[in-house]
Amino acid sequence: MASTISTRVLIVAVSSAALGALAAALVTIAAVDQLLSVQADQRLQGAVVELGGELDEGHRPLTDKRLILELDDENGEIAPSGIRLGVFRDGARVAGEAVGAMPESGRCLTSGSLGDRVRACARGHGELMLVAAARADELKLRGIYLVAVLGALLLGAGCGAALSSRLGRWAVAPLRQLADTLCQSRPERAMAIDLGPPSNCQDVESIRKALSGLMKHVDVLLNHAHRFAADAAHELRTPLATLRAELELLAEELQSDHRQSLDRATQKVTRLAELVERLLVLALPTQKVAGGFETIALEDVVTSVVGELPESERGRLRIDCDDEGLVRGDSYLLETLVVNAIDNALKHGGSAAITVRVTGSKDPFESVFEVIDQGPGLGNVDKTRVFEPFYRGKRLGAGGHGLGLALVGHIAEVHGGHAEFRTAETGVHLTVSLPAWTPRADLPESEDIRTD
Amino acid sequence: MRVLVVDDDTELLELVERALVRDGQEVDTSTSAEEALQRIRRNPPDILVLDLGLPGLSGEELCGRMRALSSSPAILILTAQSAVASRVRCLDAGADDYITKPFAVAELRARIRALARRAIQPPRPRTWRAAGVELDFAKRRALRDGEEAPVTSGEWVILEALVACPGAVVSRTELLQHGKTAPGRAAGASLEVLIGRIRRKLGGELVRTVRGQGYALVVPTSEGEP
Repeated sequence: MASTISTRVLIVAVSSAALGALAAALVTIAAVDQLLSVQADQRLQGAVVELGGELDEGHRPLTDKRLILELDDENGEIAPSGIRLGVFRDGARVAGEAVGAMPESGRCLTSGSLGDRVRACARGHGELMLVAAARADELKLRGIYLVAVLGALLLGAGCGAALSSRLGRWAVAPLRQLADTLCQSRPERAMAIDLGPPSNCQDVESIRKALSGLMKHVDVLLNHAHRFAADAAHELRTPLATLRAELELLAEELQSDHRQSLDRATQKVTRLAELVERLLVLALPTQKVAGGFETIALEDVVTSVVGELPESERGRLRIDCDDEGLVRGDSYLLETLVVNAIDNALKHGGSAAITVRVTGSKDPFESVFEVIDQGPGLGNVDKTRVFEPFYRGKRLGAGGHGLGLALVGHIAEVHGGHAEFRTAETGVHLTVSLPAWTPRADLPESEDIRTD
Repeated sequence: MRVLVVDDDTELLELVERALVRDGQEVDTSTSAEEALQRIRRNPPDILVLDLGLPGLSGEELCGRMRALSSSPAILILTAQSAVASRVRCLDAGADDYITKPFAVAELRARIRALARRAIQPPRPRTWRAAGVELDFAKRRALRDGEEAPVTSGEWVILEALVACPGAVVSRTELLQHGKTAPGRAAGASLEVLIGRIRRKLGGELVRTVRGQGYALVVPTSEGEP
């Protein structure tokens, strides 16, 4: 079962407090018991001494008959205190009442079975043994003990629970801090994640160090992957250029019956070139390449892209721009974003009208580009995974490289923005939010953007 | 038009030569920047088609040396770099236009023809100051009363066409033509919309309408640096 560290601390604190309280209660009970029995013994011994005094008073010979009378008398007097007196000779009762087991002279002894225990104290008197006994009032005591133990348990558990939330928070604080730092930082490179200053909690510090090492490793791997993708695409360009030019020139120079197959080959090369270009865009680091950015109106990009669509597709689009949608960006990338977003809706958005919208928002200060279709929707497709390269959900299966939405998401990130699918009753509502254009005091030197 | 093509990839070099010769251009080729420099000194071309990634002296350095010449050819850069970095890098190097590999032959020819047309015109100023507005064409940065204004790439294309003939009237047809062949993509908005936006962002006085003829950039109060 999943549990938080706080819950674990709560369980440990409550149980240890309860156990502690139980032990304390038992020790206290034992001490009180001891105290009470010492008190009772003193009372019993007092009664025996008094009886001895009474018997000595008369100086008459102590006949058994006189002893019986005397003890009946004494027992009658002492009865309200619960003490019973007896006189024994050689272990046999001579007068008074039965007192259970007989203790040695000057000692006390408890005897009898549970619920009927008798405490007796004895003292020698010549050849006689004088014994005072009283029933231990156990049932009453046991009730008190029970209440004491239960009370201690409850009190201990209560204190433990009350303390544990603070204790838990205190104990977990360094971990929480680390978790918060990790959650808040969304830099483009794993290395750039700031794990904060070293923690003074050793356990957390070791986690921090392990994470830091892991990130370095991930960063190196990601860098390799990025560089490989960029290099591979880059190296493919010149041969592709040669192939494409060769085919195009051949098509110009050959007779017409070969033209069709040459055109098909040219189309394939063009498509391959597009794929390479797309991969290269995806290999762009998401740290802003802002140095090369220019001022662009999203409205213009939309108009330009829509203008190049065939009439049949253009007719399905409803353009709704109530803002220029000014951003700083790369025109080629933003055009790729808009082309792919609209293309996705045209392919999968059913036959109803598609709304393409550019708006501005004040807080946060953003330019927002939206494509809303009335199609069958995304279904069970994972709304975050659709932005992964080559992810093909049910909706995304029809044709294409599976890169369209990945490009949309990645280009938005390259511009410091983000793309998401908003929940809609019908169809799909794709929203791309980009930071709006703001005046910049100093333009960075263009050297900064020489990324490749 | 005399065109000099410089690329270390001999196959591509041969193809570009074939394509341009078929288009009626007079073409010379070179596989290194050093060799190209010698040819330019002997027989300067009108247009230089240059690959950036050359061994030895780089394409960028060659570009820089060309710009130092009194009459430099128009430069079109062939780049295998991603489209993102290309515009800034090529235009920074002093090129007039760029085209990314793999390109369509038709597009290469169109760019060369556009450059040939522009090569006849005098070089345009790099900055322009008038009516409280400062335009830096190299950095594509516009200041109005000292504060940066959001001039988009489509609007810059119009301003660049207007500044090419300072003070003179540029016809609608010329502006539209310029928009089609300008480096990078032109805006999808209509010319009127773009002019309207320029006036809104930079003030109504900068671009004046000459009824029935076209548009003109207002003459600077103090001369901008060439």
